[in-house]
Amino acid sequence: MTIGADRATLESLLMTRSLDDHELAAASDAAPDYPILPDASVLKIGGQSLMDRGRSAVYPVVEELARVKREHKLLIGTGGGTRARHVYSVAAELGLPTGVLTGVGAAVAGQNAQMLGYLMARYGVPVVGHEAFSALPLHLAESHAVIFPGMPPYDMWQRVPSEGVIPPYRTDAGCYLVAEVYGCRNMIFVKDEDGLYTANPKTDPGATLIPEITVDELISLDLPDVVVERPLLELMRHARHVRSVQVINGLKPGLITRALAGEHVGTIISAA
Amino acid sequence: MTDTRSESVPLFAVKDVPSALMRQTLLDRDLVRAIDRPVIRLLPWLNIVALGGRSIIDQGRDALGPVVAELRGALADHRLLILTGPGVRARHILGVGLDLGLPTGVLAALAATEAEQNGHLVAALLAEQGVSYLPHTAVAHQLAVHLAASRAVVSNGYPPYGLYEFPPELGKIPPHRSDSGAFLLADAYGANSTTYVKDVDGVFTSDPAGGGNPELIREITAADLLAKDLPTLPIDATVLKLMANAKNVKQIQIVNGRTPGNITKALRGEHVGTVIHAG
Repeated sequence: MTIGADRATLESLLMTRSLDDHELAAASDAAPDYPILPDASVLKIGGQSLMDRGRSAVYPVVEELARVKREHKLLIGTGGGTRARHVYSVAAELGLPTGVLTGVGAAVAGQNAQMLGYLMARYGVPVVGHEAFSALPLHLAESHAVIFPGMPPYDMWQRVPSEGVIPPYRTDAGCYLVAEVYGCRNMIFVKDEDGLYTANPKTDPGATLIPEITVDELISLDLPDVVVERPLLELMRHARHVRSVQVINGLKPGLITRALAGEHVGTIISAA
Repeated sequence: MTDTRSESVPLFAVKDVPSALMRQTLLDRDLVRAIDRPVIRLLPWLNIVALGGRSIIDQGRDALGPVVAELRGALADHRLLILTGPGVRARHILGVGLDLGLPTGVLAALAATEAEQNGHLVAALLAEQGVSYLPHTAVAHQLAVHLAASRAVVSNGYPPYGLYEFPPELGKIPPHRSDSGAFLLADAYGANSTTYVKDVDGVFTSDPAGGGNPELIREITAADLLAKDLPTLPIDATVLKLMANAKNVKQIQIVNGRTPGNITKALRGEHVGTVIHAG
């Protein structure tokens, strides 16, 4: 079929069918993919895993980010951390809904973005909220890096988990979706472990590192604790641009640089 | 800026705030389950009315006029959050955006703009009664005060997912649209009722526009309806999936807004269309 015929079919389906229609979905699947920021990489700086540790963890990461941004364009998202856990705990105990938890939790990732922003100010790196994302290309061209709060803007519209009220789509999902929508080159989660383990390495000495795994394999392992938010795995399955992510240890100097260069230095999770 | 004292800081020197969720990933099921509590209804008197874009608003004066008149009449008895769908202009911009190769998140943000414009149209028609359009942030954080000042407000049915919309299972059409946004908000606020106003009597066994002998399904569970895998539903399929996890909204009703009196009856709790139960 020619491009013109494809377009005519798609337009006719759009005008006549339900937006859940399977043929329409298939026709939209055949539409081209135009990556918006294909040269940029998204890095997520963990909240509890890095920011909450203070300068012993954060200063070396800041220095490494300042160095690597000469070679790479970086979108640096921030996690929540212990204050998010505290406010989720208080709000859940009060019987408040997921939507309220999402709003108050987002503020914590915002604080971490501000703090990281002050530390990176001398390198010309601005903090940009999602309402100002239209300026991302300019910031990337000018300073090669921006910092953004990692929480997605779902607010009172956050999806509700099957158990409890903790927001299921938090900063891992938020940073990942930024990478996916902009068609970025890399999605790197910078945490405080060497990657994904068979159990929580902080509490289980028998935990072993899994260097590489697919989403399907990870879901079927049904681990009691996972280094990334579980719903992220489902998002990855349907992604068009960012089909793999890497989880690395930000406490070990040099790994951010090597991961950006395409090296396998942590756990790589791939969609297939 | 090297920290010379870093060697003396213990590795797990996380500056923790004590809480039930402290020091873990929020990903450990057992730890997260420990704080499970019933969710309170923040606005138990709230009634959510979702107006279809294509089915009602695009039909213009003939369809929207009587619907707005009925909503006006309901203000004395009910406090309403009226949410609007986008309609045919969203179909147009989805077509242009897909052709340009733009991703789902961008398409979601563009389509949401059309739902917002429809909200402004409906709010203008009810302005005389003190009804205004509220943007997402006000709906999320100041809805109570606005509904203390007025019997109803209007907003954009689309959820504020925008660039953060999920990639769908197949293709690129945004999966969280205005019906889903209305449902998520209804559940978050613990609304008293959630009514979807469309141009059909409810859910049929086959598309009523497609001929044949479609039968109206008066009452069904979300899971059963999903299992039927009907080719056409008057409501976004995502809503049926969201219903499985809903904490407070246990049912929704789809009513025909072209039949006078239906909205009023639905707001009174009468069964005039298809009632879908959460489980």
